[in-house]
Amino acid sequence: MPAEQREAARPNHLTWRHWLLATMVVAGFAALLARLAVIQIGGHEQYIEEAVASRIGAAEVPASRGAILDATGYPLATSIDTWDVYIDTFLWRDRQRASVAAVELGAAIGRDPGELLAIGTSQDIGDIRVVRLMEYERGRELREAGLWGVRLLPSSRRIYAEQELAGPLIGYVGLDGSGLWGIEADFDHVLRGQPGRVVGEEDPLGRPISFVLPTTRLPQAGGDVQLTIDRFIQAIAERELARAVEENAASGGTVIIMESRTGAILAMAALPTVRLATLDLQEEGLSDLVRNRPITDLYEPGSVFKTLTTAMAIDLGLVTPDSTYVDEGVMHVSGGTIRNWNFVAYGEVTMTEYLQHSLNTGSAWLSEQIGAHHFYDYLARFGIGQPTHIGLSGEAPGLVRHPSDDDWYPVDLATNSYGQGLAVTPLQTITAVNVFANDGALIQPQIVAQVATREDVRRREPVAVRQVVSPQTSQTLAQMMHDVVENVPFHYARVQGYRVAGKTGTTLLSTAVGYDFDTTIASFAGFLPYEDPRVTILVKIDRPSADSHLGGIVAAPVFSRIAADVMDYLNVPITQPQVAAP
Amino acid sequence: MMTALDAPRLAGGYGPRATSSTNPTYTARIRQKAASLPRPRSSVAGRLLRGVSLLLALAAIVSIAAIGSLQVVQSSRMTASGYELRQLQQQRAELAVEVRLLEAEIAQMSNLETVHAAATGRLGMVRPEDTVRISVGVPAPDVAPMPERYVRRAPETPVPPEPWWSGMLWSVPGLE
Repeated sequence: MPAEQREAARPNHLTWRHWLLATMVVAGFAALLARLAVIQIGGHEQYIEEAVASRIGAAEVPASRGAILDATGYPLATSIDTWDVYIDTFLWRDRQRASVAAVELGAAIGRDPGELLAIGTSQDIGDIRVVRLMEYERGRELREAGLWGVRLLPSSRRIYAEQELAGPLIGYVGLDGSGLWGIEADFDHVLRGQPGRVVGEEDPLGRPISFVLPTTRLPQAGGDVQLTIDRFIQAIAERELARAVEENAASGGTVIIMESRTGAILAMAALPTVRLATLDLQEEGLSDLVRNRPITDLYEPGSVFKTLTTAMAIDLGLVTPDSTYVDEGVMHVSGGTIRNWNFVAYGEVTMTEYLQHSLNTGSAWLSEQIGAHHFYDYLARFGIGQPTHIGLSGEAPGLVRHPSDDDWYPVDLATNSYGQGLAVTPLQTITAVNVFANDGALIQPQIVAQVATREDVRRREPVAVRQVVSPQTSQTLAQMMHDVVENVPFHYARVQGYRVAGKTGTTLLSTAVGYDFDTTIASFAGFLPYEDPRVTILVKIDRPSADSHLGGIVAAPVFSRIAADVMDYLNVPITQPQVAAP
Repeated sequence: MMTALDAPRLAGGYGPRATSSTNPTYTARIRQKAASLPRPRSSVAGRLLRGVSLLLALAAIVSIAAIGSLQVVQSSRMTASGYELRQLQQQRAELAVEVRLLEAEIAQMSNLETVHAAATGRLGMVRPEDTVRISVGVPAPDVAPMPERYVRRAPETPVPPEPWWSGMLWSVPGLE
């Protein structure tokens, strides 16, 4: 067909093909437009994030760990900023530049450049740390030197300024910056702070480019934890405990010093203990050394418990300090035989004399008067058999069998009355004895005085848990404890210038197969000044094996020395002058 | 006969509307009168109007340009401020580090072992062997034994003078 004819044959209007083509074009553009809308509007945030993530890298900046302070504000544990130095092995593939950098780096950190070069070229990619915890100033100078392929990342080092002091209590921080035990672990969430994020551009290999974008989030320093511990008093306690353990060839011991009115723990010392200054985390038996023994270890308190039994009887109105019983040296209770510690019979004795001589038969006699129901009820009120809730982890509740228990026997009431057949922590003992320094109120022991974070400051106030015995009973017991020390000739617990109220304790060591009659735990618990108690002190010496094993000879002198120094330090006015002016 | 002055009134609605189609004589008169009016005054106003319009247009263009550039200036200033802020934050962080280092140094230099070493070594101090505590039982003096110049005294109250007639009154015999 000629062209003219074909031209003439074409329709002079739009056919369905035109419409189809136009519809397809419009539909295609509409689809593209819709997709564009989905990407630009619907997925706006997501695609921005993906685009940023493809070229932006973020590094975590560790936050400065908070300090652990003593009662005076002295930092027992604090952190200082340091640097970790890395070699970028990818950049050190450039041997010429790497050699120059190795020489300068070696001079800065005191290492052989050849060795550094060998390390830095041992692999093709990745960072290798060559220095850990470099001093801040030195690190800053090194960073400003801008050595090729040498990168410094911030880190921090924990400082224990008092080194050996209160190791199990303060705790330790591991390589990952987390607390391993003690306050460091218990308050890790407060101390660790909030790490910051530094955002910077990265090359395709993920290595940061030197043009760092602004820090998107600054690190938030951790909060500070202030303890009730006073480092001077803690040092006194640790010094005298170490001396007593050495002099008595003991296996260990515990000293707790408590502010009588508030329950604030001024010192908490135990031996054996961990030495933070020379700590080796790989050391065998470390877990045994880091245990905070005053709150975890159980022992039979012995005759110190007689104060509690006597207070129960007085509070129930069963006896007075002048009430008497006849001591025959031996007493048979429910098939068991109770003997005095010195196998002596004193005849008719008052309650005060029974405490002064620490007669087991007297306690057993009192327990019969009190009865099991009242006895164990009072024990619970004294906080025996339950944690004190001092705020530290690992606190043991103690072991007390009750008449409802299958393994309880009637003779247990008699033995429990003088502190055997049950187990308590040293902290429970001092908390219970402290009742008599507070007119019969049980004061909750506290070890943390204040937690200060960026948001707020939480200060802990003294807590009176409950009234255990009446104020009159408490004062009577305090008077009897005073007579135990001050009216017994040559009592070793006396402190010049002050009147002391206290009680000794000597208990046989309980083993898996029964009592070990050759080893004891010697203890003394008391408070002073008697007129207005300022501190309550517990001294416990484990397995003394030198000249004596009695609490009155082993533990009482330790109490006296500690109390004298603490009274001096606290500047407590004397109540018993040696020299009086006319 | 309707005059030229009457025409508007009539056109306002009192009579039949006067239009050019209906009244060509009137239109011609109006045109003639308009042509006779002086023209130069309206030409100056027009130029003025065009000038003002041009100025307004320029002002609008400048304003739009200024508004557009304001965002750039603000953005630039924000960037500069942000940079300065980051510098200050960095400076603050470095100062905080120095403070922590100094605090740690103070703590280490004042720990008990260091103090004990300084006391027993450099200062030659020794622990006392025996301590005697003395309470002085003398009662406190009634008056604080302070130097005269430190003791504050109560101000003396001036005695008012007797009136002039009191002397005469007391001179009368029998009134003493």
